[in-house]
Amino acid sequence: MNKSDGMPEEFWIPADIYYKEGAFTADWVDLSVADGSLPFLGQQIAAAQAAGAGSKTAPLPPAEEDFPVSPPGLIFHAGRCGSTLLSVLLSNLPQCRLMVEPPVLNRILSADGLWPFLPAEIRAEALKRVVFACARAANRMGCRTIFKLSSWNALHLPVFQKTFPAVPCLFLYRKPVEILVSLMRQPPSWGHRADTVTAASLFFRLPPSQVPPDRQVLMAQTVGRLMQNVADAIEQEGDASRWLLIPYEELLRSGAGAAAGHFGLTPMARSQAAAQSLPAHHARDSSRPFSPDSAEKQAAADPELIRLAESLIGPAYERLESLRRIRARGRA
Amino acid sequence: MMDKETIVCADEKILFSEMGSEIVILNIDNGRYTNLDEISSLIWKLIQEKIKVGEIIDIMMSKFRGSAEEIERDVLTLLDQFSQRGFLSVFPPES
Repeated sequence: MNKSDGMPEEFWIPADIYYKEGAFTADWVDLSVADGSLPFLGQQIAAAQAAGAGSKTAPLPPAEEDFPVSPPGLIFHAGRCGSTLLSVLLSNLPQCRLMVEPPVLNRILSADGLWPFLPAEIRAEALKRVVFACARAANRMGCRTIFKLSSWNALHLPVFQKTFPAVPCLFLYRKPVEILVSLMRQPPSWGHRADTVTAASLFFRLPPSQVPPDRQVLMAQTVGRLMQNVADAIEQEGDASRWLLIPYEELLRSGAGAAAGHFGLTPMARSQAAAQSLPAHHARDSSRPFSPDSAEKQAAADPELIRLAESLIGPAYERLESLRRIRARGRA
Repeated sequence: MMDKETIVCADEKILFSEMGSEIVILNIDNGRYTNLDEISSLIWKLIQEKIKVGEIIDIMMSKFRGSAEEIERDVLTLLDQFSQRGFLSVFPPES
């Protein structure tokens, strides 16, 4: 969704971040010329830079606790479960600015360079500065910022919990075997992190001796941990209202209405309709028609994949479903 | 050659990240990673500040079963490996 109409002349956000000797510096890019039809923020940044957008390297200021900006919302997900579709639907809302899988957040949480070796409090401070810098930029446009994170970011959920304790969160998930079938067909961008034990240890936050040698097992285990982290967070926090759990089937049935409500967005009727209608095309690839594929994925799973899904993801999936049902009964 | 009176400390150019009870370390001089098992990780944490080798041996003896000679030999072997890889600063015994 291109929101360039009426946008202020400048919309500077941090595109990359560096930490040295106690100072945070960012590569900033002016996204006011961004192509909002591109689903991922990294694509928008690349397109803006190719179009000659302004860029600069400058300090990344501290998050101002008293800055009059609504806290952003955070979308976590298990991967291959409609999160890009949800972000496309939400981006139709006029007061909503989606930041989809920001490369700068992935930099902070990645296994690359010095970041995994920096103390947790420094990485938390970096996350906070980036999120608030984006929120401030969007606030100048009269928008709320929703961050749709990369699936693996939920491996770092405790850092997000500590850094953004009051921010509304959402978790999108799907039947385990359907996720695994999708991951096997088209390995995720994080798949190469399994190439060596050290890389896998740093990326998946696993003790080196516990990195499974089998990539299929590692993927299933990772999806299970994503779901488990969210279930743990909800149970630890004791306040289930901060989290909204949306299974894929529910997203297809109800669109983004529940998510918009959870994030405190009050869409106008026309926008709400747009947010709640399923698109005709695939969210990641507009050349492909969109059609629900759960039945086909269930049928395509071989016995080993079903075993992995049931043993490594199933228990966490059932915990999420149980938490969701408890919350639904509480609302009824 | 180290002995119980030798004082050791992890080199400040070596960064580490804890993964549960194990540690991955990065030598920023050459960009090389090293994985430490649980016992090596415990010793790595002990040497984050200057410490006598004898104190390390005493701590390991209080935590693990084995003869004093065996534990002393294992600790000295590991510290020697750390030293050869440049992970460690070694100081002479205090007078």
